[in-house]
Amino acid sequence: MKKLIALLLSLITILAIAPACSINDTEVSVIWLNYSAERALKGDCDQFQATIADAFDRGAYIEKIDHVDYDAENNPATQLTLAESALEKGCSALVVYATELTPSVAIVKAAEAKEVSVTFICESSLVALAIKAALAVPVVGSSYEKVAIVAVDTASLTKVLGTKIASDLAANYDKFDRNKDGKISYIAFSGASLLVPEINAKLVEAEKPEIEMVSFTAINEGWTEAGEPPYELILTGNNDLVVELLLALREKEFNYKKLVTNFIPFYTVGIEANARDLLINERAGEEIEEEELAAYSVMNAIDSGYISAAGLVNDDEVALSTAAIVRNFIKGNEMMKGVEESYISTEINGVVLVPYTVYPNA
Amino acid sequence: MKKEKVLDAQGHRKFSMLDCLSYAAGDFGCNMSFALKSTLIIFWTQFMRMDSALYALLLIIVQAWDAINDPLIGSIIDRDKRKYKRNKFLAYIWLGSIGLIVGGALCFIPLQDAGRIAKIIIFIAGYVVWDAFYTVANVPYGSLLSLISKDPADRASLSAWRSVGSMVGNMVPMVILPMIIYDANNNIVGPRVFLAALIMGVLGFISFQFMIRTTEIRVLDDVKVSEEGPKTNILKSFGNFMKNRPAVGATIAAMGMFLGMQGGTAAVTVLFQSYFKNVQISGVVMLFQMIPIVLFTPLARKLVTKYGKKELATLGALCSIIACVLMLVLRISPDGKGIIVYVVCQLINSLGMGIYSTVSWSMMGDAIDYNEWKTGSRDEGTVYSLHSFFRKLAQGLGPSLVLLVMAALGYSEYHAGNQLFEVALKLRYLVAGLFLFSALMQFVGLGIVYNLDKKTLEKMNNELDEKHGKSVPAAQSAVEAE
Repeated sequence: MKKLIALLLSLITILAIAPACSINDTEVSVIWLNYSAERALKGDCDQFQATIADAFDRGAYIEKIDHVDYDAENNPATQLTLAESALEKGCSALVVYATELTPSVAIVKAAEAKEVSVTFICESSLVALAIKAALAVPVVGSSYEKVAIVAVDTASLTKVLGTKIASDLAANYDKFDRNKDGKISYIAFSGASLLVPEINAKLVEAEKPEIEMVSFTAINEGWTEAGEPPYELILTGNNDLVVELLLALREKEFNYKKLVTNFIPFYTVGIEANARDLLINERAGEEIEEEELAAYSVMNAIDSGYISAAGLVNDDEVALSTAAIVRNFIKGNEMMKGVEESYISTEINGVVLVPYTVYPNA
Repeated sequence: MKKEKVLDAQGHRKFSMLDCLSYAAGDFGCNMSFALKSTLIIFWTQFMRMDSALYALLLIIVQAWDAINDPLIGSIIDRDKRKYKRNKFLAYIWLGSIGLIVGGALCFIPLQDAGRIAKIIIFIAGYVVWDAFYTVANVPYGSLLSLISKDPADRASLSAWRSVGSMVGNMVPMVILPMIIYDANNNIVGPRVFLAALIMGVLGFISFQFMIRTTEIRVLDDVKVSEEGPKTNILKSFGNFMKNRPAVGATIAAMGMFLGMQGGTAAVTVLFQSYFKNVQISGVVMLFQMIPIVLFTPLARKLVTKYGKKELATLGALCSIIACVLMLVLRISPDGKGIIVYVVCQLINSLGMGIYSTVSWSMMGDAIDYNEWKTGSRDEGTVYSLHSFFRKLAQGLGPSLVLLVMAALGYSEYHAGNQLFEVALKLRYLVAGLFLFSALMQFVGLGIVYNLDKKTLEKMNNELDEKHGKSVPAAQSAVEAE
């Protein structure tokens, strides 16, 4: 028995120290525009970047990549400074969250001088195209090969969310047609009317009448004395107007507590709105912990039934694609190895477009 | 043509498979209520958004009530001298089964918007009511076995079929529930849990009714449910218990299991929610983990006879230690490959745990014999009740302590089923650490403290047999004479 225990303990010791003996030289620097872990806990940073950062922590762990996050505190120029500093420290790769204002060409040129790869993460495919265009400009641009862009496929949103909305409407047409006039009228804010052609196309396929727009500029315009709204469907953009609209509806006793209020189907193209005011309104007079306020989001409003659904950036896929590309750059593999084939752009080299999904999933 | 009832010499329905199925249905009914208990922490922290530290405290309070509740209701049942149409125990089980239709669901009332004080009241009231009805059904159910048959073989069958009922009652919800109560984003859906609890309550009621209607009472002895013995000096009893190395060793092992493994149930759920991002398969994974136990159980008797209980249980603990160290040091990535590595480690771990669980209660039996061997007195009631006390203490404290550790590691009820990856990674190590803690406690308890190895056990049994006037096997005597 004693020999057996000794042998087993030796084996355990070897197994325990083995991982520590491997050398990890893959430290990657990630330059965020408006995110740090500390600020995220207080809800004091860009929610999209916070979500992608958390997903990237996971993706990097899967790809066995060590990484360090840097925060440019919402200053695009600082992103260049941070990138240059990271390159001086000897990072093995750069990941940069980019907007139209990010000095992407300068960052690429700095990385090229150190033969370090750059992978940009973009919230929209338009930003990806803008970066590509800037890099392609003769003389001032850069033809550096170790550059990749992972972007959210903005064009997919209308199809994905439009299909979801049409499906919900088709399944509940009579129920959502509050005034029983045989058609559903809608009101749209912040460019969400771009969803309408797709919604109508799918409704026609389902042999249901198309939705019709009503012209009001404010959510509380046109209501009847009996408290009925002049529209039966609400479409909004991905901004804080979502919260304003919900608060206005609450005053009319709509889209609040399911059992006691009425409901108008409400769809938003994104979940990044700052939803703190919703929670504060719900718990009026109560003291709410900062942690709870920071964590409260449009997704919670959807879970509570105030919003029907939202277009959702597939942050896991954005992060996994980015991590795979970074790993490939470091190991000298083919750039897109391990990236989902359907995401790889066939029109622009080195660009991955991750389509939207819908929350809640079916 | 109607089948004629086969009667025994006393005119009762002859003992048959119906009695076994009937008794198994009782434990199935109990588990229809009990199986949801592991979901309480996730429901109350993630869905009801109760602060983790507050919930940990409330859990300790209700578990303390749980410990008081059993002997209290047991003595109420024992003192009830009224005449019942069929049998007192069946009447109480019937009463308990009515309450359990909704009792389980009372622990999962999905009033997410309720105020803090209201939530505290809802939780405590719901748990106390559920616990009371559960005890009213479960305590007499255990004693019912001795009224169904006096024959030891029949009782052994009933006991075995009780385990079958328990296993089915546990496994079915374990596999199916995660697929129902969590949404595609790994968040627990409160109203679904409430509905599941109601459905399970109804299923449990049907099961109990089947048991009540098909139970044949063949023994008319006055059986008591509560363990009332002569008044004893608690400190003296505790002192004697601490001198009983086998009892202490077996208790340490049991406490380790409740503090670590069972206390970590919530951590395992969060592992599947936020690390693997696939909570719906957690039940299937746990089912896989039961395979080694199921495969080992038929072999237990043979192996115990050949190698000895302590030896086998110690080997099992070592097996678990290896599995848990592997779980700690191996790379378990948050994807499909990682799940496979986790499952393999758990298969090895549960083999070790399975070995222990098949012999654990009989080791307590040997501990009582040890007491008689060393002191001349069995003190059965004291040894068992102190062992049960420490088990319940660990069972009560385990989930609360682990929840506090989870909170310290960053678990936030506000992130529900999507904890930050950094936190999920820490919980991945916490799960492995908890299982390792259980395995180490088992090794310490059974390998070091428990001192009845095969040889010593044989010696003890022979000397006790001699003392009781039973003959020692001739071969044994010959060996001892040499």
